Amino acid sequence: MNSERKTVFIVEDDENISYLLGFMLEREGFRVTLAADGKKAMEFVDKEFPPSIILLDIMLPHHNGYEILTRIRQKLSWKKVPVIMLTTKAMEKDIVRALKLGANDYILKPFQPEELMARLTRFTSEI
Amino acid sequence: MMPMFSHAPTIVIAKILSGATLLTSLSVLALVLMIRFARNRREHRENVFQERWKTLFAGTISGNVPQDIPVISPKYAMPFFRLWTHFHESLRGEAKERLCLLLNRAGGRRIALKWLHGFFIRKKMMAVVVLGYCREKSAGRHVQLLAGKKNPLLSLVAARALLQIDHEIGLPLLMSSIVARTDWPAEFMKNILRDIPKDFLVATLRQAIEQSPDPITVRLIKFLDICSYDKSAPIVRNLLEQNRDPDVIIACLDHFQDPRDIVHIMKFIGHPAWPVRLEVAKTLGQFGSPRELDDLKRLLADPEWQVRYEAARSLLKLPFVNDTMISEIGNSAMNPQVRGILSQVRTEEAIRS
Repeated sequence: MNSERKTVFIVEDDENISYLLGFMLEREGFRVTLAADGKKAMEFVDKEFPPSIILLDIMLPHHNGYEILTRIRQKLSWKKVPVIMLTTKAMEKDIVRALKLGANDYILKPFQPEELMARLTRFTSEI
Repeated sequence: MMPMFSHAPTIVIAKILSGATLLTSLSVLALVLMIRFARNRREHRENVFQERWKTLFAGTISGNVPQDIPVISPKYAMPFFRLWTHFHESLRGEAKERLCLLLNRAGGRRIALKWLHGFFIRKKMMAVVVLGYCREKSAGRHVQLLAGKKNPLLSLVAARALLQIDHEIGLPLLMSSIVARTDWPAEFMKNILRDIPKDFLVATLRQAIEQSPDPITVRLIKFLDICSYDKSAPIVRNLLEQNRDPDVIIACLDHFQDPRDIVHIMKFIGHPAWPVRLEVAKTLGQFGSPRELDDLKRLLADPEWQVRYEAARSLLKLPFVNDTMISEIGNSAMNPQVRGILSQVRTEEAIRS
């Protein structure tokens, strides 16, 4: 698959960070969709086609990252989409829960842009 | 006719008063509307400003600091700094250096240095944060002065900035404040100290501990938690070799995390101060082995009930001790207080579970 066609779904409530992630990924040729809270993310999961990869924050308004991840893994068409969790260092222990629920990887905030891109590319190049 | 004339002044006064009230209300309403309008306009301007800068920030973070950067005016410096610090705090690695370069090229460093010496606390604090993140050496002396101010927030932010600018100079200078200032939350201080290279931190703490009286030593030992156990445990073991205050001994015992240190802990099982014996009982519950079982039994018969209580709780925590063993310990005890405390702790555990 051509990398220009790859899509990324970013679920992040910090609008500056989601803007930054979107900017970085668009520059790398991804088509980016943003959701700023758990409710919008759930609606997107329920109604839309699956993206190539998902960046999912854990602490979100309305529904947290675990709930969204559970929904993603329950939905047949979304089931195999790689999910990278975004979380703070203080929440590091909770990442085990996310991995058990089916997350593929995680990035700790504060994050290194180069590391995030490398991990994301590793998953999308396998698609 | 008379009543009409007699009412006239009252009516006039009432009319004047109601007119004045109406005028005042309208003036207040107009003022509120003006303030709201001004605030909305300012927020709108700041949002437009931030939207424009977001692209420049994102480009910089992604790898390239643009050559042609607009110089920010002091009027927009606060929203600029807010956005800049938000990105700076969200990132790790080289992107932070690029953000500092962008700040410099946009004239932010110049404004921050001006604000640092200014009058307004809000601007001063923002300047301290920004200059700390950019490790601006020329600000070091003034930041050091601010770290000594009475205002707890300003001084704490300045202390962090000073350590970011130069930890080798900053930490020895701040050590006395770190232990003396009770208005600096210990957890916040620990987070600040976590960013300092561990070898330097442990060496500075060791030196301060060696030169400090007992009450200050107790506070310093708590900061050893941040360092690696291999580096901090020898300091604690060395302190226990000296004849120190019970509070120092308790802080040292609390620091131990390795079962191999049990030999240092057991030296204090018969200490005359009961809080020390209580700490021994607590530590034995964390990593006591079958070899220390008899010592724990001895603490079950301690004259101080709090020590007996802690010893009983520790006994229940040990993985190699089962219900039958506890019953046997209780039944074979000559001292009725041992049976009493074991029975109490077992009941509490049953209620909890």
